[in-house]
Amino acid sequence: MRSGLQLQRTRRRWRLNRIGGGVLVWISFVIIALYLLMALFPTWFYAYDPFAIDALSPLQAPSFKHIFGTDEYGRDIYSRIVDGARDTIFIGLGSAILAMIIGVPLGLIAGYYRGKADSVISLIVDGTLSFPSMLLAILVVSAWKPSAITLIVVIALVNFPRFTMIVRGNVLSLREREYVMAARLSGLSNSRIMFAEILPNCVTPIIVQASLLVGNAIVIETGLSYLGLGLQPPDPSWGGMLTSAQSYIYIAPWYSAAPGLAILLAVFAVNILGDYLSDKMDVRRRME
Amino acid sequence: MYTMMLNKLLRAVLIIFLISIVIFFAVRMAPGDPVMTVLGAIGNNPEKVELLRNQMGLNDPLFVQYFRWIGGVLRGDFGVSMISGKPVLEIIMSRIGASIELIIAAILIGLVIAVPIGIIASTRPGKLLDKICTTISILGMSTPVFLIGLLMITLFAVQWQWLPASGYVAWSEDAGMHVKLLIMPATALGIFEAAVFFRFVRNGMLDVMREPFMETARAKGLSPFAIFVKHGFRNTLLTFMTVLGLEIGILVSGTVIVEQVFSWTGIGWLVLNSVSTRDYTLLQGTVLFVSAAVVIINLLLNLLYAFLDPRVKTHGGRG
Amino acid sequence: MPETTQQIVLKLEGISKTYHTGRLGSGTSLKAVQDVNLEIRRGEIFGIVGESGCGKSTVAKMVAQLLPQTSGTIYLEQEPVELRDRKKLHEYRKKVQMVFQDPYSSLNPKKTIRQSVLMPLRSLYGMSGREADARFERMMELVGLPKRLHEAYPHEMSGGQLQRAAIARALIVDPLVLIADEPIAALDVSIQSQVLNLMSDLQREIGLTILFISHDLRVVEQFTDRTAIMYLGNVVEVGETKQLFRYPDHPYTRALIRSIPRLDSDGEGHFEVLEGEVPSLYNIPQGCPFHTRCAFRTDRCLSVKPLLQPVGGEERHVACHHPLHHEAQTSGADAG
Repeated sequence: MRSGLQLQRTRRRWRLNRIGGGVLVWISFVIIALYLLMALFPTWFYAYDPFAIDALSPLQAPSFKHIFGTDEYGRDIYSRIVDGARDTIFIGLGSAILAMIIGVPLGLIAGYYRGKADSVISLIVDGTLSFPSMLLAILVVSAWKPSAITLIVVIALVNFPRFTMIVRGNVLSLREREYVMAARLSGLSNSRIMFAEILPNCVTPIIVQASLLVGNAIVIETGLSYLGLGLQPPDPSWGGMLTSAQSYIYIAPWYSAAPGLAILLAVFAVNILGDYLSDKMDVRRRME
Repeated sequence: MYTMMLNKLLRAVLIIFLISIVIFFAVRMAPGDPVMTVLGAIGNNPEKVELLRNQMGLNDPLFVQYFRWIGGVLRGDFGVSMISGKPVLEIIMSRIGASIELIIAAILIGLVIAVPIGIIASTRPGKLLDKICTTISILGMSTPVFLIGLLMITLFAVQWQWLPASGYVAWSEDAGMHVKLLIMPATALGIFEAAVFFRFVRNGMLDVMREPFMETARAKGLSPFAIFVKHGFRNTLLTFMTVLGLEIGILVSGTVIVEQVFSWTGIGWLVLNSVSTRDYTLLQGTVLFVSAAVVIINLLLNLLYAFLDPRVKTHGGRG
Repeated sequence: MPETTQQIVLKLEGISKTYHTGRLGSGTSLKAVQDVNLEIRRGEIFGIVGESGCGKSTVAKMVAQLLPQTSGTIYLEQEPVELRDRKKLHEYRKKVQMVFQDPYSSLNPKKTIRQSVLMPLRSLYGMSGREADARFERMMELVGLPKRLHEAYPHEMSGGQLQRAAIARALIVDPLVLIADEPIAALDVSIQSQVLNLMSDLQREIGLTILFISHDLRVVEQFTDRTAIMYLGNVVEVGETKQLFRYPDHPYTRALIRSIPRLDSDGEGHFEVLEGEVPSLYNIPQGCPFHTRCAFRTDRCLSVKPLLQPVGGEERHVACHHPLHHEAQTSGADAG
């Protein structure tokens, strides 16, 4: 049985850890903040117009003038990275949010009603999870014109089962809590109980999962645009820039550095943050 | 036990059926006329278009077309490619070997990297070495495979010129070249998997270390590696099978990209090729084949797991 | 006894709960509660006692309509309760409320005490604003929670305070019946008597009827007016508490009472322990469910299940072929 004292103690530990979180976590915070700023206010970061073609200086190596060099059309790679941040970040966030909107209610329903609803939802979840995500994404994106909306929808469809699974598991245990029974005694409807009583108590694992899924979404989005199935040129995309870089790999091996680093830092920062959150919010520790 | 197996089997069949519906309708509800793919430039002749539509049965209701397709698939007939006219199944079979070879090589490389590091990290959990290993594994999981691939090409093919950058040569044609070409894609995929395997080896070892009999093992002065071989192996093997089941879909996704990076002409390459040529019969056939394979592999791993793990047996009852 | 206390508020008629496990009907069934008949009078504290797994909590949940009964009817003030009709269920909830065992999980951790306590008032009566607030203040005074805790979150409070808040939440709609399912089992011993006193004060002051579920015989003996003893999903004996504890008629009741550690005059603790194991609910013995552990069993006990019948007047009912103190009235002399 938990005592009040024990609860207070865990809470205090939580706060201490939050303050003393590692350097890596702080760096991740800064990286994510920078990306968000780039996505919202790209003009603050531009060194040049990311679309300005300079036929006289294609594929220039990094220099003080162009810190990451220029691409095959002489455009400033750094400025194009800044411009590409918007799509990647918004598709990453948007798909995680949409996946949440689809996955969380399904998990609530499956866990709360159990029985038939649970079997049907579990079948959908299992089916989606056993479908290799890249194949599903390729299939849909190749059939429908790749736009930001298509990409958000596709990535959300691939990822929503993770929310469903995590919410379902939590609801299964929360629904037996006595405050849920008290809510039923108070005459609350099932939907009110699910959304107003149970959902607020699974916010923590949802947030942790969301942060991990943003990283996953960025991997899928950049992967698709690397395969030429992402947003189409002339809009710069980090994955698309890598494809171009690969064609000039013998002439300009440094070309791939900037987009590669941009992707790596984004995913790494988000994952470090997700790992940190899940540790600190006690999600994993409780499971171990 | 048998009811559980039957239950799982039925579930797998149902999932494959659902997937086939999704594949068919995702491809066919899409805007654009598949006939144009076949006719190409002469597609502007309305009479010819209509004739071909009728021939291909494209004027039938979609669900009729679906059942015609899935009925064929059940008889082993995946249809013919719209570009080459060859049977889809034949094309798949000619490519599948290269992909299986790549995936197996990647899993082996992943294990070779992950097992020792996982054991070392588990000896002192929470200490600096463990933290470094864990952070590196997050880095590994964060790095998309195409980035690992490009970095390897830049270093090993362009910079030091140890290996050919990309391509595929059949084993029978030039075995040496085949292996050389396999090294980089398999390693790229393997590094990515190693990051995931690492976590399971480490946590599996930590579980074993917590067992009471470990006190005596430690007292006897067994090294971590000996402990792993004696006690952790069985435990880890079971979790490894579960991981593999979960990972197989991710591995296939990774393979699609890695094959593109290194022009390794396996099944993933085939999928992307059929996308760019708009060969929809080949596309839907290949995607269905691969997805069904993933579901079936998962099913087999599940059943094998049930045989190996005594706990699962008692739960299911000995029917 | 005065007329008013005789009035029956709540009546359970043939209440059963059966769980089916396994698929396609081939599985086994678990009889958690079998054919329970009870009458609870206005203004009394009625105890249900038994070892864990005897079905007492299941009865509580069915009375609260948190769990549908497999068969049987519940009557509230002579009216049968209809579960399916949401409106009627709402009316029932206004009159029957419940307090749970674990105070730490009976209040939503994300809500303040005010939000939690006001919830039934809001959703059952649609009451909010000043009227609701006034009622809330009154309720908090009644259960003895100071003002500083009105806006507190559950993690800031002790178990005893939480249980007071839970009682306030149950009583804010002014119910006729309060079901208390092991309300003090999770509390520190020093707090237990405080919460008990609060409940008995409330019973006296506002004429509340309390259905008190517990495994603790000493608490039941001291706190309740009448008691039902349950064993393996069956009520085996019902009666006026003091009489029941002094002259138990059912061998199981006697064994339970003797298992209470007591200090004798010579200053040494004595208690007896029941022999044998409680049979599984999946496999309830034929005949009398208690016969496997009973010292008085006869052949009849192995085959004929005794029904709950009055013995020695209308106050005492027992389900035994061989009652210990009273002669069985309807089953006649025992054949053993």
